[in-house]
Amino acid sequence: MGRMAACFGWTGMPNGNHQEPRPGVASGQMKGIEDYFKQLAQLVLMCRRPRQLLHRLGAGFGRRWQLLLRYFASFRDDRLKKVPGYLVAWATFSRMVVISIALIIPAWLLEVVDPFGLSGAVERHSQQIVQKIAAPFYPATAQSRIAVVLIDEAALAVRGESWPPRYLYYEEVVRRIAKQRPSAIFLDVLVEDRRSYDASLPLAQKALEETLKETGVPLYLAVLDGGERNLFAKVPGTHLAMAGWSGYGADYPLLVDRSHRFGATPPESDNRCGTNSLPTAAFALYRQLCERGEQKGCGDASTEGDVGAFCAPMVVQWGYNVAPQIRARDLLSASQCAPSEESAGTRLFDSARILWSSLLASFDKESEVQGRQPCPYTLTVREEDLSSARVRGLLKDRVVLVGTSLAGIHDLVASPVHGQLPGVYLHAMALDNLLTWDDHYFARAEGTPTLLVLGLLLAWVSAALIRANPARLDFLLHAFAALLVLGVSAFFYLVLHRPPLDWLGLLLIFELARRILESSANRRQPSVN
Amino acid sequence: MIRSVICLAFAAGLPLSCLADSQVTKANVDPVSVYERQADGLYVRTGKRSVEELSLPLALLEQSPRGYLKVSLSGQELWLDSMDVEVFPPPSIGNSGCVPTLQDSVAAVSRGAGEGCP
Repeated sequence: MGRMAACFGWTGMPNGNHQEPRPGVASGQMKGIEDYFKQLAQLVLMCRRPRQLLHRLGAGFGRRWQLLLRYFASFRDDRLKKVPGYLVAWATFSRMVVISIALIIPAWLLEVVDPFGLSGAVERHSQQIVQKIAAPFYPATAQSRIAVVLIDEAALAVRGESWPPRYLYYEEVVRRIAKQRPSAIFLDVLVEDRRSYDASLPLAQKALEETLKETGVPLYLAVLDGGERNLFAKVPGTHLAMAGWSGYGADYPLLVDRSHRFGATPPESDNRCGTNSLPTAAFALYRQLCERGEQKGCGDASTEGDVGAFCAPMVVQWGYNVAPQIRARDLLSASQCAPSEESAGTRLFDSARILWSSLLASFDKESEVQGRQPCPYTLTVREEDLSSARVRGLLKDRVVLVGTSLAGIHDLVASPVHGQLPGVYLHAMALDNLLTWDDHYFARAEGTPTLLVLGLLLAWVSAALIRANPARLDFLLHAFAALLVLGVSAFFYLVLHRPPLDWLGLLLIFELARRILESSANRRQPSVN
Repeated sequence: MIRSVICLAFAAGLPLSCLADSQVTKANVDPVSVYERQADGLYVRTGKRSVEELSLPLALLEQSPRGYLKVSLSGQELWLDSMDVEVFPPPSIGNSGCVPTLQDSVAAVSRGAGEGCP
């Protein structure tokens, strides 16, 4: 075992990690506050003799510079040249197994046990950081094809309504949108309760039928079930779209079967693409565009029965850059929506700023706020502006999603880029993702085989490095682990369109495994000596 | 005091004076839907009129915050949807608003829904 300890290279090997004991402090002893006071007193005394102070500072700087040069020079180690040879040696493979076990067991335990929910939290955080950093580079391909119309307190007050508004109000909103000739309309409001004090339902149904017939614009109604209770569902020209579900976490499913409906308890093993699945809002609208030939590259989406490519739930990617019409038409306040430049430099700067604010999330609250985009990505029109000149012609050929933004109505979703937003933006963003990437959207997929391969690769190269035992071994191990994990994450995200790996968690597990092996090696060291 | 009264009178009279000069000058669709205002404040479509029948321009009598315009046609008062016609001078488009994007806000409350459901 002593040989094993020696081969791990953490037992006094000349790898540059070992520190000489400092003069004045005995080995294994920790400095007390009195030692620091002495140093402080010496410094104060020296300040009274500036020439001597400058001299010592200069000498100190020269010494540090030499140390730095020596540090970089130490990377030129002949032992590094042995690494390729070690990679194919039997002894390396046997050590690879040991390291793999040290990596896989903690990873498996963390995955299964998820102590205090830490593992899940770290995974979510890893993915959110990547989503935030990537948001400025989100392609604006579909930004000009989607719009959100928001019903808020101000709009209701202006129209002489309160919450919930009378049925005829919805018809007015739909009519004013439909007159602008959009591609489709989605009403993200559940209209299911017959209210005895509102006699406008028959009028609303009749008027809605006339509007949809005249304009030919399809209207999608939000439902949480089969739509039997929706009061407008029987109006010709309307379609149903699921706006709620269960069992998908923060992901956005494109099809919802009976066992995943809102409020249901989904079974452990399930077929998420059953024949009785209903499309969610984004997928229903996307399919509508496909059927009308307004979206190229639809694949199987245009045929009702064959939806295999859309079974996996979507990990919605959020955009950062503000739609240019928002400022050009003064749709939202300038204090909320600053015009955004779309040059590569600006995007890179925004991305770096977001990364910086993520790093300092707890330390600098202001920086965190600055890293957040206060303006929604999707073009937004307030309902009260629908008949005003600033919106004229803006909704033509767009898919328009109508939602609410009312305090006390808990229709909010969390966006890693914006914070909390009205729920309708989730549907809008999911549709944007579909129009941008079609069936190549960011899908949730089983990642265990990838993690296994990644762990073996990491263990293999680490074993070879440890056997070669070059100078700066710790640095090289950390650098390789970080490069591999971040590189594979980037490949997953950018090329395969899969959510990034839990890179934070993986790096933490690697460090944990490294320390376990190091501690094991150190414990056995006395038997060697 | 006198200045306040004058200001109030001016403020109250301003919209009327503005409306008196406003006209419906153009129709965006043909035929144009006409609406009737009910006692409960709702507007119900009663029919359609061709642009020729409307004999534009028409004086704008009243503008409802719900988005309808009152005009008089052959002595009969009608309401038109503001999206169907153009008004001159164009009405003020008002201030732009905001969309709440929240970070640490909590609303442990529910919005009241008026009377109970049947």
